[in-house]
Amino acid sequence: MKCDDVRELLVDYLYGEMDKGEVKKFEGHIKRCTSCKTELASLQATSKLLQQWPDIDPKMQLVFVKEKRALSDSLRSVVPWRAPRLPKLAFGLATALASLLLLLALTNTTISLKNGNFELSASLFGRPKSAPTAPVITEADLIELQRANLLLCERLVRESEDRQKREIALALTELVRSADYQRTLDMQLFGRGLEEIQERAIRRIARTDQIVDGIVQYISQEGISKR
Amino acid sequence: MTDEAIEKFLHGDISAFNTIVWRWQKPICNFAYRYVGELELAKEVTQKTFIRVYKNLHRLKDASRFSTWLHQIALNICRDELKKGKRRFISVHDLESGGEMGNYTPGELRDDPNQRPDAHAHKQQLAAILKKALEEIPEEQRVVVIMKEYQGLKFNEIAEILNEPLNTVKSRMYYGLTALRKVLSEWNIQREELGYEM
Repeated sequence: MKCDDVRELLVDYLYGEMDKGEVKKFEGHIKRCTSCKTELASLQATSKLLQQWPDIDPKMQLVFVKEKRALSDSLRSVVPWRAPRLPKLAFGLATALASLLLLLALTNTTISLKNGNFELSASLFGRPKSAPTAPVITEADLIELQRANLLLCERLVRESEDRQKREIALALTELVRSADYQRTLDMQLFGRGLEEIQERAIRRIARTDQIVDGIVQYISQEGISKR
Repeated sequence: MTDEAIEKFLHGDISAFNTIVWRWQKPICNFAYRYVGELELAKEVTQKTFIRVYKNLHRLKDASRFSTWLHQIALNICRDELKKGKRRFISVHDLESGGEMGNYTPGELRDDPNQRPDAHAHKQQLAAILKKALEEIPEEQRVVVIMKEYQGLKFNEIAEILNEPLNTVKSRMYYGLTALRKVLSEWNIQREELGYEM
């Protein structure tokens, strides 16, 4: 092995990254060659010296938390149908209504109420020529209509209540989950804080002990010298 | 531990990412501190590093490469920050630890016994001298020396981080150590000051 070859291998040897097969040859050369031996010792000394710069404690508390969403956003994600876009919905309804009216006009549709029953007639070729008859609405028809309206209202209110209950339940579940998660993070932070306080206290006690020892030693030496 | 935490994080467990942060924030901050030379800037680099890791961890194909990948990100951010080059301030920690060596040169630190009242202060001054010495050598050598001596990375890992051939990295390590020895000798720092034969 030549000195030039050895120089390339010095750092491998220094940091224990040399192939096992090469170590023996390398060490053999180092024993014989004073120049390479000195070079290695010098590199070792520099490396050891660098180790005298200890790590610092940056006292960092980086914590990553999930981005909090507003409750309305949470609800929208859980109940997407709850928040349709109003302009779009209004435009759709208006278009549907206009189409219906146009269709009714084109077909000459007539809707009438006779004896509690609705009658529907339509014709593409004009209104049928029939003798005009005045619709007869009896009291029974009105009572029946009121009852139907009442039932419809009751059903709508019931459905609305059910829907609200479901929404509230979902929102509460989400809220509880968020609170649990936040509590876990807080506990982790709290734990780390306690550990740090404990470490500092231990260091401080050790330092105090050291100072007290020094004082005791000093006092005892002073006592001996006075005697 | 890191592999498991990465796996958990990629499956939506955000607290697992905090495990990764707690494991690596100190080594990365120390790496950045030794590279950029300012503690506050090093902390900023550390924070940016983990934010970038958070955003891009899903791209890491092989969890066993995490350490090299993390150092690569940290180094890139260190270089970006140094390029900005606008901020030069001394932190309280730097002052406390003699980071900028106060008003003393390495020689004065060595010669003035009043500056070395005890072993603790001596260590701080030694750290300050080594910091200054590292600043004196070329960046390409300094980064290799820091990664090897303080981060404990293998030469092939350093080569991967720097995207350089393995022999180039070893060569920079050799010349880096040699240059440091020369700098310290020029400052006339001897065995009795440092405890080692130079």
